[in-house]
Parts: sequence; structure tokens; C-alpha cells
Amino acid sequence: MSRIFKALSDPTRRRVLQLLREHPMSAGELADHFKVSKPAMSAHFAVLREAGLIDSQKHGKSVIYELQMSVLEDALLGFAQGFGWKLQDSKRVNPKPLDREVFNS
Amino acid sequence: MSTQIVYTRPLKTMILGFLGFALAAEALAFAQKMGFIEAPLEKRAMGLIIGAVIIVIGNFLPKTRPLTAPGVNPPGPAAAAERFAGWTLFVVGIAYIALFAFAPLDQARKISSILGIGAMIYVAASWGWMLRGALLGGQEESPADRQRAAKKRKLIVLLLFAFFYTLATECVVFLLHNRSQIEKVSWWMFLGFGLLYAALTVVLNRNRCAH
Repeated sequence: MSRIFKALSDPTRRRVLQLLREHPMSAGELADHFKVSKPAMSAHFAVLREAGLIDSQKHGKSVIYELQMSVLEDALLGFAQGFGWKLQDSKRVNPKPLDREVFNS
Repeated sequence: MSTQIVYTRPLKTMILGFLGFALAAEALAFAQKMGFIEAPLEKRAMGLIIGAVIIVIGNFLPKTRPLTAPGVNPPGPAAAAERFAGWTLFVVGIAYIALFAFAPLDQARKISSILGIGAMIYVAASWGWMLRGALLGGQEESPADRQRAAKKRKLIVLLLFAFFYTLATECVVFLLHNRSQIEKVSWWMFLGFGLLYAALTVVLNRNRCAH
């Protein structure tokens, strides 16, 4: 379950899921929609695949990704999109003020 | 590896679910016969269980991707049809639970059977010709793809089976108003379908070994 939340907490990955909703796409085709580097994109794909949200199939040299989401996961994606979940960012931002407080006192 | 695990999980869930369902039905009937619970309560509990089963099937339906058949069904519309069916069943399951939890029993039975038949026909209409493609299979090239397709076909057959069973039960509940008659007929149907289900599983497994 935490894998699914992690996968859905990133806007890029959510966009990938939304793109795949139209039809299955190859890794290259998907990467063309983003300004992110290809290795970073494949890391995103790996997270999605680990969570079981997408399925990969090899077709010759390219890898085709297709959606594999249950109704609940679909609904979670909708919620995540609506509320703009960003778990990783909030984790990174929070510790900083705390450090400053410690140094000042 | 991980995709394979994800892939086979729904099938196992379905088989275990069917067994669990049969067990729960037996346990409830037994509890009622022994006088632990009253008859209306047993009917309500049964309705709640059926609602839960419909929710679970609806939830996993889009994940199992039963309609995908490379070269036969266009992937976009197939996925859309699967998603649609999944959401429909999910909502109908919630409606079932709400009905059997709160509405008077007679009305709950009537409305739920109408809802069930409606949802079934709706799903059947939206799947239509794609079902044929999924059953007959596409143009799989690699052995791994062929194995996948075989597994998918098995899933489709089991889904169809569950579909006809549910549809038949809904029709019986809708058409027969005499309660004792409903129970007798549905019991025989359950037995018959259970045996057929077991036979089907055996035949399907043998087919897979033969390949």
C-alpha cells in the first residue's frame, strides 16, 4: 500500500498514468512528453511498476507500458490529483526551519 | 518477476473468493438452522456478502485486463471498457450493501436484483465484440506472450461463468416471489454451478499442461 502512495505522490508519475489512460505507450514515447532526463524517467517507470500500477511488455527493442490499475487505485489517483499530493517535497522542506532554531538557541 | 506476481494474484483471489463465499453461505445457513440467528438476519448478511463480492470483483476487474488481445482488440477502448465495468460493479456493490443494511428486506431483494440485472446487461453490452477477440486470442509472437494470453483466456472463462451464475440468480430472485421456492432453486443452482466450476477449472488446467 505504501508503494502505491509513494508512486502516486509525484506529479510526473501521475501524469504518466494519465497519459497511459489513453492507450499503451513505449518508454520513449512517454519520455517525449516530459522535460525530465531519460534515466530519471525510467526510475519513475520502475516505481510505478513496483507498485503494480503499470505493466511492461517487450516488443523488439522497445518496452511498451500499459495501465494496470484497480478501481480503488484509480480513485486514489483522482484524489492525489485533486489535492495535489507532494509527500517528498514536504519531507524535504520541513527539517530546515528546525535546524535554524537549534542553531539560534 | 514483480509484474508476474501482480498478474496472477487476481485469479487466485477470485478462486479463493468463490470458496470463501460458498463457505460463508453454508455457515450462515447452518447458523440459521441451529437457531443462532433469525432468518431475516441471515438473508441480510447474505446480501451484504454478495455486495462485498461484487465490490471486490469490480475493483480487480480493470487490473486483470481481461479484454486485452494484441492485434484484435484496440488497447485504448478495451482498457476503457474494463475500467467502466469495474467502476459500474464497484458502485452496484456499494448500493447492494446499502440496500441490505438499511432497506426493508423485500424491497432490498427486489431492487438489488433489478440493479444486478441492469449492471450485468450494461457490462455485457459495453464488452460485446471485444469479448470474442479476448476469447479467441490475438497474434501472440513470443511463448511468454502466448502463456499470458492463455492465462487471460482462463480468467475470461471464469469471469463469464461468474457472470452467468449471477445473472441466473438475479433472474430467479426477480421472477419468483415465493420465498421457499427461491431458496430451493438457488440452492440447486449453486450446487450445479459449483460442480460445473470445478469441472471447468480441471479442464482449463489440463489444457494448459497440454500446451
